[in-house]
Amino acid sequence: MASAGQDGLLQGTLDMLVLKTLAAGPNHGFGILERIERASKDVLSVEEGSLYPALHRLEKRGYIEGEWQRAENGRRVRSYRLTVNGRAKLKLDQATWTRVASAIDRVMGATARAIKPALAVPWPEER
Amino acid sequence: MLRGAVELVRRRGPSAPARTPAEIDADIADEIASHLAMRERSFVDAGLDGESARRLARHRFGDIDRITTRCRRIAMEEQVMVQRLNAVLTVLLLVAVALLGIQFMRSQQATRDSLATIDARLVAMQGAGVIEPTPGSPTGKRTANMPPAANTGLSGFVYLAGDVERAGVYDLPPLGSLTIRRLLAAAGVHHGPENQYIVTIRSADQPGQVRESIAIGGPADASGAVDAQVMPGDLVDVRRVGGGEQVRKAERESKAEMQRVADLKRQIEQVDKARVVLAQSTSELMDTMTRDELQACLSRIAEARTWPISDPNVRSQLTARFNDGLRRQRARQD
Repeated sequence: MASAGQDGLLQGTLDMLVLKTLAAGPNHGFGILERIERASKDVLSVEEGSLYPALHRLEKRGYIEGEWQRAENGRRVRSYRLTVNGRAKLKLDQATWTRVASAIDRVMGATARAIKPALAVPWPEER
Repeated sequence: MLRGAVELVRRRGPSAPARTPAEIDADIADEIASHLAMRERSFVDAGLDGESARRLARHRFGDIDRITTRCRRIAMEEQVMVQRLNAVLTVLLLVAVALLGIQFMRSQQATRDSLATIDARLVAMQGAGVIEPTPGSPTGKRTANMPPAANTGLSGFVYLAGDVERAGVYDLPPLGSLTIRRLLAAAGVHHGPENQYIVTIRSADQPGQVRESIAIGGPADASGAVDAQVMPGDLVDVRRVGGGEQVRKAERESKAEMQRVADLKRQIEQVDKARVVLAQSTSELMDTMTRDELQACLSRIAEARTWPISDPNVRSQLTARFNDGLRRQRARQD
């Protein structure tokens, strides 16, 4: 399981995941975490506390907008929604991510093809 | 920094409310608490007991203090930026004010230097006789307060008054010094053994106090050694001993005496006219009088003690006239 919550590690990716999650509709921090984990089939597990600095940073930059709501138990809950700027940012990040991921995929595929002939030689035990 | 400030203004917009640090902390705490509560309930729903669910929720969340600090820093970023911007602007303003002050002082100094240069050149030109100072002009006033210029002696004016032919304002010579004797000579004062003058000098800064008083001329001043130097702004008063005021007093008395003489002459003329009229009237009157009346008048004239009959000339003239009247009457009766 990969962790997306380490400082400096996949920070831009975490922002993109948050924006993508909020593109489906407004949600609070806990709900955003659950959606990410569910959508990734628990492959991506975000360190829960680190989500909130990311949310506040995105809100400061105007990509998302927070609003206090009252839960059924009376507790205050802050819900976030995507802004127009956030939607544009998501589109840009998604395109970048796709381009980078395909480039990485191509590199990995080429490496696999270069290694494959060597692997084709049977191990001594197999002879 | 400038780019950050522009970004800050762009982001804030017109209606962005500024939260206090306490409000920011309260919002962060509420948000974390709601998250922990939801996570705890999910664990309870999964079958954990309350205490385990609470402990596990806090564990999965991470270091609450560290997360709170990071969130607070992000929230305060704007206010910190504004504070930094204010600090930078304040420093810039202070620097600008300081630069303006320095520039102003330099300008003042340059102006003073230029004025000093102009004054020095004017004094030099006065010394060379190119121009003459004008008493009361700004240049004259300023040079009176200036320190002595090199090789030009003292500069300024002195004020001369009293029993002199040419009282007025005199400027100090550009070379050498001005003494009382030279000043009196310039003012047309002829002092000598018969003409003595008392000269009093008052300084410009203490006009009510006599700085020096000397006697010029007279029998005791045959050697001419007594003298005094005149300084810029001095008030010099010259009084002639035995002349001056006494002469003016004698002139005033003489004029009064002449006026009195004129008045007396006018009175005498009036009396003479009255005498002529009286003589004519007396002659006409005597012609109508009897001898006894004429004799009575002669007796009254001889006994009169009031002026002008008491005057011997008038008495003799009147007596002669009445005697003449008696003779004319005797001649008419004869």
